[in-house]
Amino acid sequence: MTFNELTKRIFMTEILKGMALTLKTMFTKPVTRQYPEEKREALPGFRGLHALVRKSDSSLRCVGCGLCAAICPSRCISIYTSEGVDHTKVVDRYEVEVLKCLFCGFCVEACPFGAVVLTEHFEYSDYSREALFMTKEKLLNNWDKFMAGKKGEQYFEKYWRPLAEDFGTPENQPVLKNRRAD
Amino acid sequence: MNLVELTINGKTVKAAKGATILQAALKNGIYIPNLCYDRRLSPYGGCRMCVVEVEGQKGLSAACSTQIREGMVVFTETPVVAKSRKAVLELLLLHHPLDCPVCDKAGECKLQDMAYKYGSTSNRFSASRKDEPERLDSPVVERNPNRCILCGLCVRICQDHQGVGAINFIGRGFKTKISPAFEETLDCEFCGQCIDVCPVGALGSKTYRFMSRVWYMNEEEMICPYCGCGCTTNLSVRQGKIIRGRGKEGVGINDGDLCGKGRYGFDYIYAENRLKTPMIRKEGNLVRASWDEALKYVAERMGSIIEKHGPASVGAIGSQRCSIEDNFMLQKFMREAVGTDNIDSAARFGYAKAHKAMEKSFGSDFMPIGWEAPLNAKFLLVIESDITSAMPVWGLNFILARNNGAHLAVADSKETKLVRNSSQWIRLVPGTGVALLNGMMKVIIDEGLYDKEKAQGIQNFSALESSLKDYTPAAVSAITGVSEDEIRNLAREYSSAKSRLVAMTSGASENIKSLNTMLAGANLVMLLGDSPDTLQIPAEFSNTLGMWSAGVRPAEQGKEMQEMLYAKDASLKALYIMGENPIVTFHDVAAVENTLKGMELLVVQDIFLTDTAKMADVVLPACSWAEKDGTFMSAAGAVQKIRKIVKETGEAIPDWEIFVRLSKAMGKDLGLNSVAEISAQVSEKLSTLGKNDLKLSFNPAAYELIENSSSEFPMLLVTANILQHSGALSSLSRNLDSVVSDAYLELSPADAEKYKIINESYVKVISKRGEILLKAIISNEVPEKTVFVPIHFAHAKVNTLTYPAVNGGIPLVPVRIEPA
Amino acid sequence: MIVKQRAYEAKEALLMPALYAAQREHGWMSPEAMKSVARALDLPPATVKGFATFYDMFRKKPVGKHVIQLCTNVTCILSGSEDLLSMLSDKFGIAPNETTTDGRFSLVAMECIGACGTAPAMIVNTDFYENLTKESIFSILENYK
Repeated sequence: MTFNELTKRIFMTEILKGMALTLKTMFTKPVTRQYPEEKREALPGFRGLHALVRKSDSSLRCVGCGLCAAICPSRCISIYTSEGVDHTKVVDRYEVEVLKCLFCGFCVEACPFGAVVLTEHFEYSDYSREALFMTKEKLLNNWDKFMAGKKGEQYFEKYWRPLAEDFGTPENQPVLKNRRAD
Repeated sequence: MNLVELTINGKTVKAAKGATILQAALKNGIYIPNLCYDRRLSPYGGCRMCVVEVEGQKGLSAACSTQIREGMVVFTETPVVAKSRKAVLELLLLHHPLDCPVCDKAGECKLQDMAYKYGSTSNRFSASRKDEPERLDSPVVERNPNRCILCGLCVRICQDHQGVGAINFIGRGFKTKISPAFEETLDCEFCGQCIDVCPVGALGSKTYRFMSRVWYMNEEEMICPYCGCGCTTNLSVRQGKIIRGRGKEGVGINDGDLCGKGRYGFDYIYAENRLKTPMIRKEGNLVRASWDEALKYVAERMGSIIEKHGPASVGAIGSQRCSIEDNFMLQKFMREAVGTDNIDSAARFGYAKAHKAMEKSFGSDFMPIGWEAPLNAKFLLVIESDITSAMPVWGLNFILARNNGAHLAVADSKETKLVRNSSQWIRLVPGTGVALLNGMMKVIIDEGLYDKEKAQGIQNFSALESSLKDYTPAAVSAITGVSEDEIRNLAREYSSAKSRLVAMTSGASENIKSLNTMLAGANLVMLLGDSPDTLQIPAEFSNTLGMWSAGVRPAEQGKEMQEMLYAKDASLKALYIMGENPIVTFHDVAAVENTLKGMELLVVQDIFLTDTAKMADVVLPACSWAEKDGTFMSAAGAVQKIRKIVKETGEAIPDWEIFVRLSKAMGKDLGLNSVAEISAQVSEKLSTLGKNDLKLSFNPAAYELIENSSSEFPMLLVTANILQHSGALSSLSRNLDSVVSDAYLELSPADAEKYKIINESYVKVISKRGEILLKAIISNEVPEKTVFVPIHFAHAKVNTLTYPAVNGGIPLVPVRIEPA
Repeated sequence: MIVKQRAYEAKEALLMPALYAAQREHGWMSPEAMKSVARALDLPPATVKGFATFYDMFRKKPVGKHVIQLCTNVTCILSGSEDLLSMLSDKFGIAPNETTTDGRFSLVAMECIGACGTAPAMIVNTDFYENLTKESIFSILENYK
């Protein structure tokens, strides 16, 4: 034991230091948020409940390419597509098993169209598993509920992901010309 | 084989002399990217993706079209090569749309993979992209010209490998596109080979359009349920549903080749009339019942019939589509639990003839075809058979043999695909193949071209010689309509060829050949001293040979099909039908219907509610081929496994299990309770096949028509297979029905004029057995005084007109046609 | 094997002469002409169409009585064939690859016809003319009524 340590022990320096901090905190405002009365503003890129983007004409932006399902590490996305009346691709079912999801956000990054988002909503506990099995309709409702207006528009500015447009897809792209981001 | 040693990427490899760098590399597990190479086609050198550096050689060489040399040093992945590939991809992607999210090829697209590995993320050039409309008008094949990179694989596989040539490069330069000649709707045989070879999504399967993405699916290797080729088709399954079939290089006997049936025909298991529960007839109607109820009912009724009339009053019909195990259990159940030998199948009208001919001529009880046999012969003689439609993938070997320099002579009345790809077409009167063969033998004997030593040592040579005395070239020419010189030349060329092959099919539906045709073929083979495997007669369906070998045929005293169904006296009281639809597929429907109506007990075990099942007292639902384990034996004699890859439909259970349960319900345990146990017994039984000594003998075969045309019925009706269908089963596949869904009557323009028949109008076809209504198609492929009808479609009732052949006579049907 | 040995004589080899014959007969490569060639040679129509559309000398649409094929490749351009082309266009009121309303002339701008030494050059039907000038070209065409 050195001299320094001996003095520290005799005069109880460490305890006094701690007590001083306690005393100081007694006069400051508490940091605890009174959740659920008091809610916190989500930071950019927050990864909450899933939603599917609705285009300005209220249709689905997703084309059913399945890249989100392919990249999903917990395999919680399944997409069922078929041929529509005008021979275009129609997304019949887009299902997310939220209970399986680990909110990595890969689906958002993988999507070439910016059609799937993770909203800032995180309070979705429920009593049944079914309520957390998100169908296409539920996911579109999530968009209306949590991302409507400005929030949705700004989402991808805050959230980094490659956009189909980033690759310089030429304007005269024939097949996807009606599918471009609105 | 001469081997050449070379070094690729520092690894010393060996390859056959004459191979290209690409072939040598792929064979030794070194991948060189390529877009226009296919193992089945000659090198093209169009895409320039396979460029490699060869030491001591200036510039880059295309690996697909550079032959290997001894001591060659090749580098496939150098910076120079990568740069060149990057530039090629940049140019390809200039015109290729970036619509991968909606392209069905994404995930297994070669261009995508290469762009990922070598491609650049930006493009230095700019050009307008193609904006052609997608073509979705043809059945099963969709074309998207925008995605096409003009590698030419589809054009070449269609022309050079498949022998069709339906599409080609139309136009020149940037505007080139792959299309049928005049931008019309694609009208080909719809084999779908072009879809498999397309490296991008320009050609796609319409039935798979937007159905799934490749990474959702499991791919399962399965044996095709249709013809006897025994091809392996790769079925993609998503969520318990088969959604696509395709061929894969190196998989199965077919090495990735498939016909339309193997590629699209799997969906018959989703037909609407699939049976889901057992059904019992109560008060004239079939009503649903439980398994216990149905089996108890069958056991009781069967028991009382056996008691009353004896076991010989029970008969059974096996199925060429069911597995070996199923058929083995059927015959075991009949022989051991019931005690009857009355077991037969539809093969009686088809493969049984071939078997009988082989047995009589060669003394052989097991004669599978040789898959490679056509490739080993220099002269191939095909008698009145379109092998390319009956055995489409084996048929490709005939086309390949001809392309490789063999002489392919086809004797046929109709201009079939094989005829179009032949080197010699002997156009004869339908059904006269036996006369032609006899005429050839006569010339060969008269001119002393035969193998005297061997042939004269064979039993019955003098009988053959004397039987041929009426078949002089002049007489044969009068019968067959082939000129005397042609017969003589054919005989001379055939007998002088280095190696020979006689091939014909033995379909139950074909009425232009009979036992005598096959015997005559065997005689020709023996006359020239060739070995018995020079005569190639394939078994018709996926498990015909397996069923036959499993013992579904009378062993001793049992009744054959003719006695069971066509005999006048009603000695059969109960009939057990497994996976067969006699009302549609058997000849002379009226007689069959009459016999079935007279049955005290008719049990039908099937996967569909067929027309026959509708007449049954008890209907038992069975599993389709993809819903059970088992084995099939292909025409080439290969025993191949089928596996359960999807869930059974409703309460259906595998056929073999029905017999296990039924025998227990009858109080007789057969002692076999699983596929493995049955397989063990089956393989014991099969191991004795083909082991007996051959005993050659000539069997004189005369040409005779059972019924000849008359003034009342001046035309001859020829029933035939068409390429897109196989038996009556395939007509339940929606995909295949989108190509051909209705029976038709093909007749020559001269006859059409004579009988005042307009193309695509309906005609009445009348024989002395009945009349049917068919759509007439006027075709140059058909000779005069003959009409062709495909037999696959239940609603056309073509078998109302036909009749079963008893002896060796040709069962052509004289008919009269009238505009309806 | 690099090249598959084909036992038969290639029917494709006959295709070019057959197409020429058909064009002489029909004036241009009409679908009927191509179909009849396909029938005669027993080839798939797609193959015939592929050949016919690849080569420029098979006409894809009907042409006039006389076909003027003026070279517009480098040497001829340098020697003034562009001016000649526009003169002809103005004179007959047609653009290249069009036919006059009376069906007398069709104007075709050709790539090099191998007469660089005597440029500019043209071919009218099967007759060859070189060292063309603004004056001579019209007097030549006078001969084609």
